[in-house]
Amino acid sequence: MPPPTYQRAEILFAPAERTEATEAPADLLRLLYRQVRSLAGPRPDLDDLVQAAAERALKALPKFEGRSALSTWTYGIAYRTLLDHDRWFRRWRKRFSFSEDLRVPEPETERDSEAAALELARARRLHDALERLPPAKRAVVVLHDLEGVEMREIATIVTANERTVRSRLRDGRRKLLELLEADPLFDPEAAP
Amino acid sequence: MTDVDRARLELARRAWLFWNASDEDVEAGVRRVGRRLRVQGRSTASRRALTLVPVALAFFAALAYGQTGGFEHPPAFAKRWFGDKPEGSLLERGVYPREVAETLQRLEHGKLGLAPVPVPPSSAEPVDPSELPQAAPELETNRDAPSRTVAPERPKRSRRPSAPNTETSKATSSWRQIDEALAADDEATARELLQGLARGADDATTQAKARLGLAQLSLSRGDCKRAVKIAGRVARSDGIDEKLVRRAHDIVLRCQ
Repeated sequence: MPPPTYQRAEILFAPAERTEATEAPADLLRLLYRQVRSLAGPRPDLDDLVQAAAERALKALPKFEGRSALSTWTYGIAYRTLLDHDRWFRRWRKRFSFSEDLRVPEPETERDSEAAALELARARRLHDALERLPPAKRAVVVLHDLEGVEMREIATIVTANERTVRSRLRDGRRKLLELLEADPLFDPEAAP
Repeated sequence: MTDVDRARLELARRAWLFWNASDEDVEAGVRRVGRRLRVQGRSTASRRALTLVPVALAFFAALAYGQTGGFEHPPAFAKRWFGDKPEGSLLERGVYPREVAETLQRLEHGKLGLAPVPVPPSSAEPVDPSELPQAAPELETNRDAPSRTVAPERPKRSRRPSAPNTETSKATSSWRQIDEALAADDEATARELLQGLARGADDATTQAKARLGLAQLSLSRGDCKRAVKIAGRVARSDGIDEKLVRRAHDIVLRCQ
């Protein structure tokens, strides 16, 4: 007889490694943080998003039946949290804006390295271009082309069939390439 | 997808990995989120619900209260702050001075210590007292009329069957005749004509002017109490020119 679902979920995490405050499995939080960061990109309200996703995940964890990989399940939560948040956030941004001290932290690089500075500039442009894609298409492009997730898993994450996912991927990729084409930093012939 | 596009996507992938979250970033982020979860305890959805539910309840309660007509007829405790006049009356708009309101309030409580205005020799002729109470019920009826801008439907019956030809006076009375009656010191006729206008004029302004005339007649006779009562009601009525309201205030203040 298989163990109850919650115990199965517990087995997936190291019991000793829990955040002392919430009893939330630290691995779950790490996983969610990486996935939300991937889908949302670097943004000032990333912690809010991770928190909202963690609350959803902890609430739904007892119902996790293990029919998909845990990472797929958490990706689905991160995706839905992001869509809900963006819907609310779009209305919020019409009235408010972030103050200057809420800038996105940039990665620690060697500033004297020209290659690192170039790569950082390119990454910034890439995130700007991704921001201009519709959320559903952006998520599919990020998951497939940048994170390397399988098409079948993406269909589970976004709760759509594979043909829909392929269609979104095609449209999103075309739009992204159009945007990158106009950017000299993404010219393959000029790039080292 | 062409080879150039593939190469472009490869560049994008490299840039993506370059700015991917490092292990240190992830650990720091997990610590921050863990602290937040500990401090806030409740989920974001619960906190939003805790804020939104009372607001929604208050909104629907206000709707239900308005449905019962509570805002149109406020309870006693609300009258103390807002008065019992309908919204937008001259009193609420500040046209009605405080002194006048106080005088009227004292009058309603029967505490008005009025000094009678000296009666001018020209108006010394006594007036039939049976005419005086008629003005108040008329005005009372008019004050409760739904709108001042539309001439109220007058009842067909006459309160004074013995009065000399009220219908005719309504039709023919005019300011010229009133002037002539006053010039001839015929106050009784002037009063009758004014009452006819106050009852039968088509517009609220003419009715208010006629009532002010009645108030001035009462004042000239030394009946300050009656004058203040009529003028006060004119000043409180809606849909009339503010100039008339000021004239009504003048009469009230003169009786103070």
